[in-house]
Amino acid sequence: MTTTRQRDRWATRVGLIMAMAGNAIGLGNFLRFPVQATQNGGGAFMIPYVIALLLLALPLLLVEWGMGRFGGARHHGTTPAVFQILWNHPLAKYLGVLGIFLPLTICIYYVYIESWTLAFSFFSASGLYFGVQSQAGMADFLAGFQGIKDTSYFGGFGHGIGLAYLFFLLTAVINLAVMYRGISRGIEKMAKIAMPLLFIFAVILVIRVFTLGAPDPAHPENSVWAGLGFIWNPNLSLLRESRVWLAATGQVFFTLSIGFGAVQCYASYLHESDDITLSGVTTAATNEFAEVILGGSIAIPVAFAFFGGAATIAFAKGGAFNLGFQAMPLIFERIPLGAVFGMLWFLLLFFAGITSSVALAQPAITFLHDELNLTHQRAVVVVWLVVILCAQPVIFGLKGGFLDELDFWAGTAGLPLFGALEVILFVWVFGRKNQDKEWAWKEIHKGAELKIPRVFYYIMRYITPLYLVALMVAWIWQAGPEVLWMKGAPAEVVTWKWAARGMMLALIGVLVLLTSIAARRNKPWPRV
Amino acid sequence: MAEGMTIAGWIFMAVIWSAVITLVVFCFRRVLFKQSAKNK
Repeated sequence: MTTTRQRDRWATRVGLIMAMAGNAIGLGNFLRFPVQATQNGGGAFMIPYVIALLLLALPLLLVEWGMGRFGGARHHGTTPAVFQILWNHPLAKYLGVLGIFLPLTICIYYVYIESWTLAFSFFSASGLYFGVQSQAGMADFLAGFQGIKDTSYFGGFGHGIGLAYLFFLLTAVINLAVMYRGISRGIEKMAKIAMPLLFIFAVILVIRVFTLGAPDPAHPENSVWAGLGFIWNPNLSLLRESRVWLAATGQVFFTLSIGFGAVQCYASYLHESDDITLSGVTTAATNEFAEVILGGSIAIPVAFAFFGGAATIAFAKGGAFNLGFQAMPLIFERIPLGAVFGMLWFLLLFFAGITSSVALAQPAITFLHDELNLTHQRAVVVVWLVVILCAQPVIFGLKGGFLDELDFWAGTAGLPLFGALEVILFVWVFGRKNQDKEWAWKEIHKGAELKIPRVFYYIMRYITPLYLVALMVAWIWQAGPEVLWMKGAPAEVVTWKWAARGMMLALIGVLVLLTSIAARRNKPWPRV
Repeated sequence: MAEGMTIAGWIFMAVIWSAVITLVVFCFRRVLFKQSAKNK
């Protein structure tokens, strides 16, 4: 017996674009991008970046939008059922499980990182870290907060981890409240408030950065303009290095949140006749504005102006979080109204985070609702309990690399694999089944208000899948053996990493079981 | 290290910024002012 539940819909197009842009715009736009650009050739980095955007990201984005709308019109918002429709093979639905597993796993650790931004906006407003004057001191402050080092900053409150846990719970409750209200009344309304605020805060911060000049009279050479040069001056010789191309491709992949089913799930809440080409390109353009223009104009230029080139390189080499959670607080201590600007910076990151985390949880919620007939509210509660439960080892095993392990498999290796599956099934397999090799192209252009140039048909069909497979092989080649065999990792880290792998396998096992139950219970499944 | 922004840097920045801003304006103009009735 099949039952068709009423599915929620996006109430307005602007709301949809804000929610989709919110899904794409995350911490990476403001922290990861400037670090990647600085380390990989400055302005020259933009050459492989734009190429990857056109050959890989935009085609895959359109495929995800198209696949989502196609599935939604058949009351299926997630990939187990959609893959089964596209490829009538018993394996298809289980490959589709990746479209729930990947975003859910990323959500489990992303919510914890998101909670740090909320905590640091509070620390900025209250001036809790004011007085910590050195990079080493700020590193200790962050480590103390995360509970990976005993420090004096959070004495008497569980050495920081208690406070971190409190902010994690607060962040989890805020996420829950948004998701509980559903797509149009929860996520869409939140995006319509959070996204404009994010852009306003970012513009205020960019204006503040651009008016700083050279803040240290003893080092007039360390100016914001020199800092911009640090990001934009092209080092074309680096284009000969494959790592630069790989870094640019990875950045484009991460920034548009493609390859893990969240875009596809959001698009399933469209009407079948709704445009997706103009909406999709608008979402990508909004994301690029946030990344290239705003993200590239805050953290690195200001760090350069205050600390100079060598220290900025040191911060950047330590990773994006060092830049965001160590360099930036030190700067806020040194500028007038630093508490206010610090609060705006971390709230900006929090808004970027929450609009992404609700999107990451949505495929699992939609799966329970569409395929196992749970009410939306019940599905939200079940998924969120799983996220909170699975986040415990992330919080307490941070030092042991639990989070890093989840990030490698779900947040790095899994994305090109799933992206390749999406393109191959949508563009190749279903077209052949329909005896129309242009089926996917026509499906994407249903109700289109923007005609995509024909050349993208060939890119989508030939170049994008090859690009994705090459990316997957390159990433696994580059980091796979080291991660897989945990080379040189201490015993404590090995234990945590195996625990992370065990948890991921358990999650996959449960999702495979639920998919099997859905398929058996609702025959014929999927409904077409 | 602290050479400031070179001419090539300004050119790269100007080209990329212009392209992104043009795309954003183009898209949002169409979304906000030329949308069909069904999508309002």
